[in-house]
Amino acid sequence: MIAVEGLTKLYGDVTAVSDLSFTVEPGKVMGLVGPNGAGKTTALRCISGIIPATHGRIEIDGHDLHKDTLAAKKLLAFFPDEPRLFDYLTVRQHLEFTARLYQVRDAAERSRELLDALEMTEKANVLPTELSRGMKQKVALACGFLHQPRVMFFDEPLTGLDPLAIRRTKDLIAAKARDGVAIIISSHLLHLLEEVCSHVLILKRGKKIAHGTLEEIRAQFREGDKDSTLEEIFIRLVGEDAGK
Amino acid sequence: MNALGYLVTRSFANGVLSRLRRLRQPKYLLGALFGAAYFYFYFGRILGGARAPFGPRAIPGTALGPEIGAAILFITTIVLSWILPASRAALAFTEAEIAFLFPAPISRRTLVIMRLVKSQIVLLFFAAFMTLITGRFHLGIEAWLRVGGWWVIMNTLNMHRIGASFALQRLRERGMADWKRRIAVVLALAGVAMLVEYTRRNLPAPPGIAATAQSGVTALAAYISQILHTGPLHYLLAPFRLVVLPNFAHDPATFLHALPAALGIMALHFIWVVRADVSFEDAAIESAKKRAAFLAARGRGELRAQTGSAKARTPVWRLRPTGFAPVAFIWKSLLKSGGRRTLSRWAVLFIALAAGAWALRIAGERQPGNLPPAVIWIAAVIGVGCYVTLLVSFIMIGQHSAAQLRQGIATMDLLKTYPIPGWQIALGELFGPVALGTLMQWCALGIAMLILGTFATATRHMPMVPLIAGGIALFLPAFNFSMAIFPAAGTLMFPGWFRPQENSGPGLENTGLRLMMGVGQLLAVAAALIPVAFFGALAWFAAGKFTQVLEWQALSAGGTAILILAMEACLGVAWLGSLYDKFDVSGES
Repeated sequence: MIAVEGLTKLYGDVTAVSDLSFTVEPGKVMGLVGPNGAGKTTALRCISGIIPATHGRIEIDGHDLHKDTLAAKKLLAFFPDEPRLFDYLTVRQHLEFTARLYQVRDAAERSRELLDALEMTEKANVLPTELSRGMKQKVALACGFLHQPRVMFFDEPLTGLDPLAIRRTKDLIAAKARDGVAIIISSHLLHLLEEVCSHVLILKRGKKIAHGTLEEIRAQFREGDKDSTLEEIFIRLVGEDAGK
Repeated sequence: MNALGYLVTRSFANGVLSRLRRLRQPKYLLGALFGAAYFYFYFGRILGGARAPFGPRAIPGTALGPEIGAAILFITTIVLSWILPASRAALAFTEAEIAFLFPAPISRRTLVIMRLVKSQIVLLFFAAFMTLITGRFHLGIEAWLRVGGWWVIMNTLNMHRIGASFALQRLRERGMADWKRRIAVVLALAGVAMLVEYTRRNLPAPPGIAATAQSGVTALAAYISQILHTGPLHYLLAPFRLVVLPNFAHDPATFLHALPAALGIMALHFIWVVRADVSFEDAAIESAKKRAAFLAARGRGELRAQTGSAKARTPVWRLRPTGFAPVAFIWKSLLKSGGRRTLSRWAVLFIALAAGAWALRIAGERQPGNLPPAVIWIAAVIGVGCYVTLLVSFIMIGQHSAAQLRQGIATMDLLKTYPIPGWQIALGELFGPVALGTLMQWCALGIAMLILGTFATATRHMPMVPLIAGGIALFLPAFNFSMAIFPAAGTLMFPGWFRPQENSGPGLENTGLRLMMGVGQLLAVAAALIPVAFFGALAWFAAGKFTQVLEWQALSAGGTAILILAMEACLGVAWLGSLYDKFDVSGES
């Protein structure tokens, strides 16, 4: 479970994220949406322990991210928008390296299963320079899944992928949610989020302006149109900030 | 103004403006001041009239000497441009230029002209720089003649290189293999060599080595000059001499007299290049990609770009999934350095060198004080190689570790999510380069000790020498860590100041920044060594109270120094770890 309470991130006088609170229960997928510069990535980085929050409390499966950092980090996986791999490590070596960092005892078996599931077995001994973007994304996913995290953060996971890869990634996320993993996805692809997310949080200039299940948000902001899509609601809510 | 002219002039003007604007940032302003001071103290002496730090001295009575030397250098460059190229003809375009200009309705000839025009800025700077370092700026008007002379030479060379690459491309398109072309060039060179020999035989005998030593190089230069000015060689070398002649004019009249012929040859090259309708686009795209990859790699702090043809490497050992986490970083670092294969090659080289050094030492024992010159030479070369390795490694290990850390910053998003404390990440990132560097130093030290035994048999029986070598060997790991910690800390504390992609280019401010970093590293290490020296000296004198045996005093002082340095290294790693933990990734994105 992810529990965020009063998260605030300041850069000098600039407030990137202001008093953000929410929880994501196990098995739920929350979509974090907002126009460019709304603070999505900053919020995601704070919640995953990459950058420190200025104020607020973040708990990962009951572990305070600030006080019990390492225990909290053992339970999470963060997937950046661009898969960042080491040039000189093969796919299998990436998994071996990650296993040591997370102390995964049955790493060999899990690696084999993951490579099979992601159809990467044939590429196990290949360097990242020989992989397409989609394949690199799969390596990043395999590394993130290896230690069986209970919490996952995806920053723009579908950008730059072909339709088949998008479908597979969505299926993987849905499968992980079914396994009880709490997931947060930050994305601009609203129609795709509608398919995957159980609820949505909309940020505008660092502040939460809407939060709830898709039905709740539709009910709250449809303004007469009961078939409003998330995209229409989003544009209505963020107004002039959209498209910046 | 046409579009290409607009692109060239605006790019240049905007480039200059942006460099000036960034001087508002303290780091670039300081860098520029530091760089300006460096250039002033380095070249100011030349401008003030002193001789260049390196560059040709005028040889009295051999005015033709430098001219001939320059012509020979010129010829060598030109000959190499016909022998070396193995790839397709490529003009250097950026990826943006390719994206905008290649699909545009612009003729190939116009693109070539644009490329040549664009290269003028660089060539002019280079001509001025060459004039500066060859010590001609204190010559008043003559300095400007030199700049003009260098500019003609550089332009002609540049156009000849391009023209040659076009001609070679055409030959390839007509089915001529590279090896055939190289054989043809080598045969032509052999013909020229025969011509030189034929000319030489018809001249009086050259001055002996003893005579040359007595009269400087005057007699020898005059002899070579005579060969090159006799018979067909005189005509064969005429075009090359004509191009370099303006660079050796001492007054405007001589310069203007020599200039038309040089410009004529340059103009012929221009016509040759722009009229050669050769397909260079594919190779230009490939070359632009490589350059972009190189720049990206430099941006990550790497020395070279990773190409698609790289092969997977075998790790030195199999990494177990559990255990001390920093070991994973060492394992990764060793893989990056080439893995098991590279390490095996180094091991073989070390064993071969050590065996050679051992053989030399035995030879030294058998014939003490009476070694053959060949043995002395080989021993000297290996020994000097070892000492140079040691000296260079002192600086390089620190720089390499800091580069490793900078690359780590690029993947900080990932590193920050790892469930290990910052000090373990810092230790892991530094340990790889430090461990490899120390291993190399130990090898060099071991071989150097063996070589020392070859020269001075007495040293083998002196217990102090192995003791000192052992002390140095023990001192090195902690020292290397200390050397690595400061540049690494600088990277984490002032990431904006230590961005290699922004500071590695040319320019006064970048030169200044690089110098500041180097000086900062040396000062920091010097500061770290103060307590080491203090406590080492204290231990020396304290031991002297109990014993008068020099070895025990040295052991006590060395041991204390190593202990203090090791403690400093540990504290340094802990400090780096806290910097890692506090590092704000958002400032880097």
